[in-house]
Amino acid sequence: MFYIDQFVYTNKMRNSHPGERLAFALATMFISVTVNQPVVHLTVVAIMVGFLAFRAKIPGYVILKLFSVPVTSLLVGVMTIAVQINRFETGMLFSMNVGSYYLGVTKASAAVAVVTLLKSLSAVSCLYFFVLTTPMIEVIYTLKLLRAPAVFLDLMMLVYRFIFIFVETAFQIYTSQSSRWGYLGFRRSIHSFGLLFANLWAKSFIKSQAIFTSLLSRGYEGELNVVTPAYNWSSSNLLLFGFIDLGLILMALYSGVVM
Amino acid sequence: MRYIIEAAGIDFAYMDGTKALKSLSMKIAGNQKYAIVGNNGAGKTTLFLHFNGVHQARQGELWYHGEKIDYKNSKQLKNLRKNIGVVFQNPDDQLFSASVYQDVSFGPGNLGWPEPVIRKKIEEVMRQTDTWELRDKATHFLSYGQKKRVSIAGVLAMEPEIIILDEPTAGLDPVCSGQIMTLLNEVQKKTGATIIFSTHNIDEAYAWADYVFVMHDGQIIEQGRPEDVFRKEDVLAKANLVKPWILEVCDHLAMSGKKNTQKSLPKTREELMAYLADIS
Repeated sequence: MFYIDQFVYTNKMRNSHPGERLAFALATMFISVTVNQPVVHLTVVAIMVGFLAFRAKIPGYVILKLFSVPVTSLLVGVMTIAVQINRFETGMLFSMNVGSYYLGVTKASAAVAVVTLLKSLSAVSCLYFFVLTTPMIEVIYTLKLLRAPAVFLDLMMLVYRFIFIFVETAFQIYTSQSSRWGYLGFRRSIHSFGLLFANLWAKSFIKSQAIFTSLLSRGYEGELNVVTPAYNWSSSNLLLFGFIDLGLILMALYSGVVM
Repeated sequence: MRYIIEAAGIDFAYMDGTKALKSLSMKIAGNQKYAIVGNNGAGKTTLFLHFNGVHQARQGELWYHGEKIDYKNSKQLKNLRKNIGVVFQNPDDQLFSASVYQDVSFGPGNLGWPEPVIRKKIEEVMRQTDTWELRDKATHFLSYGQKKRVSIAGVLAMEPEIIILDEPTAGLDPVCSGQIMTLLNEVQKKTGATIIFSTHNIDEAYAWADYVFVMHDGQIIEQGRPEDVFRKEDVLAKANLVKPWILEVCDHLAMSGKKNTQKSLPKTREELMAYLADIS
């Protein structure tokens, strides 16, 4: 789970302002969901994957693995759009007889399914582009720029940090239990896991108190006043992103109807 | 002598009734290097949290620059917390942000300084603690020693008058703990801040501190110059401590009739070597 985070922190597109990547991802996502031409969708996926692989230098197998998750669920979802039920077989490319009905795929439903699949996939690729090139801290920072409520952002920041402490603590307990035969056999495993879970809560509580004490020591008064590193806008990036989106819009306009 | 902090007769008991501090009195002056030694559970951490007003003394008084601390006066309390910085033993208790840079900015951010000033200060303290290269890293990818230095940076950024470090070298390898002690020396020289640190490592306390406190069971049982305090066998025995080895060597030499022309006692390994070379 956490190795993804590691790739995000070391990706090569990190050094410019995260806002430009967010704007690009959102604009491109908007174009992909408003447009119906598969050619545009495929181009979007290709561009985003290209950015991730060749500019951000995220290893190919990580990208492939990450895409396999939405692709599987999308395929299942799209299947239900493609397959239709009708009394007559007419117009179906292929069909199956179920009682007095026919289960089959028509040309129109197949087209809708393909467009939906590609549209979702291209939107997902835009999202992946943003989250894989932008560490969580910078995501929170961009949300701050978009004027998200401070309480929400403070919580996000603490939750994100605590996930790691939580998992680390859980692993420490697990290791110490298993080194004392805690997970030999089913019954003992269940028992040990129960202990782990209960102690994890107790430990989290103590930990949160300790953090609170240390926050107080540094003058905490109900708000996490922090300064983020200064990010620089990269004009070459902005130009490139603008050019790509313009190209996509033109491609959509000249390759058929926009819906 | 003017003292920055004076604690007079402080009592503190935890909710389960455990008495952590028993009528403890202590005076801390400016521009000094203090060490507090004592066994686990002697009440060192509890004492530190009294110094910056996080724990409130139920009995006894705390004075800051000759002014008695009134816990209802939030302005006074804020000023106390700005000037008495505490670096906690476990850096994971202190680093709340996933971003190293953000975490260091938290203290000065609370002081309400303008952003350019904060940025300048962050860079200064991060360079000083050798963590500037880590500024874009995530907290959870740092090593223990790195986390420790970042948490020191976070406290230095508030420009405290007194920097308290709760066992700053515990759990570090000799090289890392050496770096921390050197860093503390540099900070002390540069800012003139008083540094207080607690430790189990009595050799470290002997080598580094100008003045030591021995704490046992919620009380200060002895205080003074390290070479005096650490020669008192009864005090050492009561606090579960052993004599610093350098002092042991010197005293052994003196006992066996060896004379040395140097006036001051050696504090470090190197000084001891020079001392031995000079012996007759």
